[in-house]
Amino acid sequence: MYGWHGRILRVNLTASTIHEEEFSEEEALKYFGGRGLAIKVLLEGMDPTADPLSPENLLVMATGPLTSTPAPTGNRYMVVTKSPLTGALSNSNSGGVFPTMMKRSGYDLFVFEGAASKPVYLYVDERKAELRDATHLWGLDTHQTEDTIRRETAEGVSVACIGPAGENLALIAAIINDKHRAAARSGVGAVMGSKNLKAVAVRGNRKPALHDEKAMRAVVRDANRQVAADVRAGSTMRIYGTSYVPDITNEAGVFPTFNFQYGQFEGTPSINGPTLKEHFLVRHGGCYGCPLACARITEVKAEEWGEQYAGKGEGPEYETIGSMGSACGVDNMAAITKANYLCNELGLDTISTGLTIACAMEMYSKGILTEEEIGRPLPFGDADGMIAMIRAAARRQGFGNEIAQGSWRLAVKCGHPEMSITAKKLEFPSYDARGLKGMGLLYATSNIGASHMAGDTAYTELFGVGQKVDGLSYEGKAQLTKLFQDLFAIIDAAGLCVFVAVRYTLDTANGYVPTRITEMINHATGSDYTPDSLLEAAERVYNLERLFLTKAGFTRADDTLAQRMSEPMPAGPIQGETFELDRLLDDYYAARGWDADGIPTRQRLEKLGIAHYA
Amino acid sequence: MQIAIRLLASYRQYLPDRHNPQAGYPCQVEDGALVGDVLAALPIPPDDFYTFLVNGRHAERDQVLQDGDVLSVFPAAGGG
Repeated sequence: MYGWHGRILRVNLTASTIHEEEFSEEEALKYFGGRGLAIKVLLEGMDPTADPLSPENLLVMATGPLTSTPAPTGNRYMVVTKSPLTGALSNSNSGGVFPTMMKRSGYDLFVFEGAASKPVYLYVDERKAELRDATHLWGLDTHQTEDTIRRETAEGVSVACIGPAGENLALIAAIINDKHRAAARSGVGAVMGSKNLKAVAVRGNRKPALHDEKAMRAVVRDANRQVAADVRAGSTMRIYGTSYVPDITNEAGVFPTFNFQYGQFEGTPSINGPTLKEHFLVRHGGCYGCPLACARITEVKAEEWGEQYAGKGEGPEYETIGSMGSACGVDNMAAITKANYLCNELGLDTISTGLTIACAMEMYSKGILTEEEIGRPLPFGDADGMIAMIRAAARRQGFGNEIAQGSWRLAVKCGHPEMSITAKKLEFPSYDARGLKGMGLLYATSNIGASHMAGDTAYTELFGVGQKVDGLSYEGKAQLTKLFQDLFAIIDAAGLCVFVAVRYTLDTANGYVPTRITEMINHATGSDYTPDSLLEAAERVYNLERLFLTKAGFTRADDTLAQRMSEPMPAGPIQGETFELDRLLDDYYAARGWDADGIPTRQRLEKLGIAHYA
Repeated sequence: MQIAIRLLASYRQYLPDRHNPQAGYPCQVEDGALVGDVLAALPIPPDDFYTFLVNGRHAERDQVLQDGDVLSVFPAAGGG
């Protein structure tokens, strides 16, 4: 087998047993990539109606066939499980070093089932796997956990772990790897916490053989040349990373402000890329083997910005600037950066955490929540209040216990669900759907809830990578969103990074054709995909995921999004604009081959060869 | 007539000195000037992939500019 080890490590935490399973090349190609094999494991191994925080839930960590290959930023992994925040699927994705080391430990997938009776961590060193006691790690933050594990294991170990937030079953808890990278969304950290699984530590040097390494390297060389030329010319992603985006979204009036009440933020110049670069950037960094290196290693100096914001770490990324900055009305980049550090250390998703605090701020500003209930005033713009809420959420102390459960539960409890800016209970990323109709449809229909990483149509609706289409137009958006969902499934499943993959491995000039990815996958695995058959494999994965949701009880009624999106944007370039889901949903279902209730038809499942899962 | 041009993200490097990146820099154009005419005259590397908005909204190159329009231009970098 090429590109794959063909091996799954299955860990039963209840019984403290570990065993290896093999999968065939045929399975790896049909249920494409890590994301495809992971949903297959879930559909075959658990009841989709199971309580996500019960031992019945499975947690899968999955690398792809291009993880740990020379492919540009071929260094991502997926966490796939049933989400405790949404009740739908989690498909969280992360980079760093861990994904490569996981693959080199000799396995493609880790599957965790059951729950341990006391804290443990999994240590895998070149196909030698053991569960170790983690009692001494319980309560430690993610940085302390990683440092301790590295001291007590071996040189070159990479660690993915949870912090106090995951231990305390915060529904917005993340899994943090390599200290600064997060498989963040929809509460995957709480699933680890519910299993008493504190960490996974990996190392090794086992790389699967590539089918045609020479041909693979030729394709990679072409892609890397293009990246290098962009970097030499002053690539925005190298200079600012994603922190350049506030200037763009603010310009287009889709920068979430005061919990998505507005689309432009007066404080944008204080929280944009140039501000981050001028005051906080120490140096550029990047994930393992990345030619683009969009990460920013930063520091907030106590003497300049105050002791309360002081720290060292990475980021913030655009999403965090949106959720902790404009959405909370905070125009203080030192505070946003500190908030980012804290979320990484405590193990929280910055998007859901920021937007839940923003939701609380709106309710406080409207007199729905009082100072007594929160334990302090919490107006928009209160940077110190935001930071206090992050700390409290991770430990579920005081009002932090409400923040820890996400904005949907908080807003419903207060009788104002309209103030939760979510789809399927997952908080929006920082793009207002009223100005980007493809994004709105993506949020509403995604199998994981409102996530840009499930098929970011802003690439074409806003950024114009390849073609630029009008974000305000509904025309063609059902097909566009479906295409991007499938393309992102390919990128995820392959083990690539979206940032590099969209621009450098898709033929963006000709309708986003996955030409170069197809070549790399074929050279790595010996498969004979065409771009079309690869897209069909992605569609198979997407439909399997949808089947999981259908079995969990999701219907058309759940393919919806925050009520605020149907209210006119009050000001800015898209003043008066609403998002009308009804104009797109039927067309989208038709494009997917689903019935009017959003359920995959037998005919489509048969065509994809997965009808036996229905 | 007069329009304002805002160069965003890494295109800030092409801004004239002492220009306020928020307000943009004022630019005199002939009546009936097209978006594409102004774009072609900008100090951006000719083979660069970039994106533009007029008054924050999607625009085409053959769109006729109006007095007071704001033309924003940024590299097509993606991400987010």
